[in-house]
Amino acid sequence: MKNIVKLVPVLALALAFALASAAGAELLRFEPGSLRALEAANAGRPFVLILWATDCAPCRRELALVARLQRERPELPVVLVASDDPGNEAAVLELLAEFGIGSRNAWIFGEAGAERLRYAIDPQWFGEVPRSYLYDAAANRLAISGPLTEERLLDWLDSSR
Amino acid sequence: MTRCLPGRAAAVGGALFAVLALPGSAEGAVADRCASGDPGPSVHCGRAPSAAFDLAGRLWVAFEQGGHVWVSRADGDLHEFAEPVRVNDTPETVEVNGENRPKIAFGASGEVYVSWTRKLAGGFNGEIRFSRSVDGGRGFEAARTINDDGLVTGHRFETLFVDERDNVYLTWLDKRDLVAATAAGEGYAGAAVYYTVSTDRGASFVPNRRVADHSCECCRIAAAATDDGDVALFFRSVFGDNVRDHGFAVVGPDRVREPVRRATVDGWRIDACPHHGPAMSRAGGGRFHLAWFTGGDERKGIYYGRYDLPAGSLENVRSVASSASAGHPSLAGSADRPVLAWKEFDGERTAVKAIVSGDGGAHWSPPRTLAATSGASDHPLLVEHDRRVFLSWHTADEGLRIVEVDRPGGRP
Repeated sequence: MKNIVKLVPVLALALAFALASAAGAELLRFEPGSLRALEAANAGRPFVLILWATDCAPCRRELALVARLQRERPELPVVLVASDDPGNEAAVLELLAEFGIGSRNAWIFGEAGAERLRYAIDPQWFGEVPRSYLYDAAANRLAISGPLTEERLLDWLDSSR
Repeated sequence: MTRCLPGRAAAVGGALFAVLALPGSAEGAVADRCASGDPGPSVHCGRAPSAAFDLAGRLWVAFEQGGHVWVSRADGDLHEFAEPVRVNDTPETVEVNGENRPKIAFGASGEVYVSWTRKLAGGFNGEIRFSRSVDGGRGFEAARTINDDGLVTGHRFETLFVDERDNVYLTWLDKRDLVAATAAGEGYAGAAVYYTVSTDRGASFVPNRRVADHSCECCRIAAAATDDGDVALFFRSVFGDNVRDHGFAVVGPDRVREPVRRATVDGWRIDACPHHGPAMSRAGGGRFHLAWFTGGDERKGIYYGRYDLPAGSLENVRSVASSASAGHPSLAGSADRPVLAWKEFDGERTAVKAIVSGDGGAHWSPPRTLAATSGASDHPLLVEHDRRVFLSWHTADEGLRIVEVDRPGGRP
């Protein structure tokens, strides 16, 4: 029974992917329950959650790093969530494409409202971007505001093993 | 859950809170109506509406819908809006977010001025657009681009302000100096603040002038009249190694009067976009009421302070709201009776709260909730006329709400 309960968020995430592809939308909609689903889907392994926005110059450095990570460390799950208004989907996709980042694990804030979604991610987050959460295998997370550096990320990866 | 009933007024702690909502509005009704087929232009279904009173005390709202900027006027009842008038005939991509939105202001002879940022391809590129009506808002002149550098780069986050001598100011964040620095192989932190002014009621504008280097790239600029009739500007800047505190400058019709000086010292070192500009109103005696958001080591949350321009010092600094979800302060009211509003999410709802000072900012009332919503919401904006202060707040579920916040005789 416990395992089934644990599976629920994973199934919800799978359903979100399925619905997204069925609807032809290329970005997943981030809703208040999405974080829990992502945490469950990545349980037991490190992953990186990155909040960014199209209207954010420092976020471009973050996207460049993500593109490199996807090439060089394909085993590390990187989840990108744009805190843009859902109406900005085309601009988000355009920017991801410009950096050669696949949209498979890319999200955009849904209709629930930025305040609610920010709060669901972290009540202590002011909403500034880029904002990253480094999850270790035990699901402890470290929050970082401002662009991640490769050095910092690799240090963290080594220490979280 | 408090619901805002149409026309319901409640006296709370001596101040008047009249809530003027949509007639018969229910949560979700506006969202449903606006999502249906073609809802037609309206202040409720449009995006990023900004309100202002004209000199006769009539409330106007400028908003975007379908690539057009529209204006609509409320006569008498503040919830009855007339058929919107289209400002730009050719649709364009208009910036519509809390920090960067269509704006409206008025000339002494009944001119209606409208500005917005047109988004251009390439991420952070944009241009400052301006149009005016000289027939009382029945028709608008063709939109003009105000930035004069001919560059496709960032010219965004404009602020529109009309001074007491009827000069029309536009000030914005500009990346032309970043472009020049990059071409010369040099670095340039942030953007720059530029401005221009029209001394002929919006017919022409002087060449663009730089106010300050190294502003933040994504935060609105606050403007207020000085005692001398010039225009004070308060904006987030980049100091040293990415410290995103605020600068203060004064511009006049002929030149920059007071070059930028640092006004807030919170030590918010962050290489990121706060998307969070400040607010300001005149306090008299060379002073200004300021409200801003910071996440620095020293201070976190929304702060109030009174800036003494001749002395260059900040006094009476106090924490207004410290929760991470509190943001987007707005200031209005008279010099001796400022009103400060902001929004805050408590895990369930986003509420707009306000405090009032009866003694020029030395002491403030406890916060009161003016309106709330369960869904997405715009920045709260305070507007005023004849010492009466109103909240203008657009929410996805309820549309545009105009709420009276304070009036002479009300007690904080």
